[in-house]
Amino acid sequence: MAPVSQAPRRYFIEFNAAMLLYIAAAVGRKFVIHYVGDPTLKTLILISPIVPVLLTAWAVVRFYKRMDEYHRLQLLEALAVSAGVTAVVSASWSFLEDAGFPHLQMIDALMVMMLTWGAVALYMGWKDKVSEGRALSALKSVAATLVYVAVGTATYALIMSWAGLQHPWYVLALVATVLFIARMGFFIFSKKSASC
Amino acid sequence: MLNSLRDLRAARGWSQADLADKLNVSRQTVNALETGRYDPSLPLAFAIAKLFKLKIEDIFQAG
Repeated sequence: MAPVSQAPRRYFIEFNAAMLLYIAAAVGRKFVIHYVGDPTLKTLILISPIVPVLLTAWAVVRFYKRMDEYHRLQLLEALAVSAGVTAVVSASWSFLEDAGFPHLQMIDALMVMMLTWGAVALYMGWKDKVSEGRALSALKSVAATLVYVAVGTATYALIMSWAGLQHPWYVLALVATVLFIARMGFFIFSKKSASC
Repeated sequence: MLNSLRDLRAARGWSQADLADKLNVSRQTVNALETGRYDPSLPLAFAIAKLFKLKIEDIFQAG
């Protein structure tokens, strides 16, 4: 069995490979679809992003199996909180829609879940840092990460606006997520013994 | 649950990272154990006891 310390690095590589495939499939299908006449092939191309989504889930499962018991517990707690928040938000929103609020899609529920999951995971990491007496350095690191993600996402939005292309909020959320992952990758690969 | 993990580790001159490597857990996990924020599973408790050549109850006590 590979050392636990290698788990974040392997996950980072596997997750990002799946994300690259996802972006390639999600964006590429819109260009390719115009040149395909066969209805069956057309359907397969349209749903092709499902494959990298499954690969992403597989990467998470592999990461879960590689991590130690403490981080497994943290991951499951974060997942439980995010599932609960998503359930409350989606159930509440369905009633708000009856009162005239805009209709949301299933992908929006996923976004709520991922953002909540990330926020809870960050909070748990923060508690670890406080316990280790490294709160100040962690705070600086979090602030730098937020600035990096915010500036990067804003730059992307400005470029899209300048080019006259649409940039809906979920695309901006995706860009912010990718930037956040890149930042995490920097930390993961720059440390001798990476954490989960 | 209370434990004497920090003292046992310090007596051997190991860092948290050293102990983490020997137990195949992360450094954060060692820190969580030492600060009492996390109680180990039985397999991990046995691994810790075996590493220090002690009984589990010599390392972990009810808090």
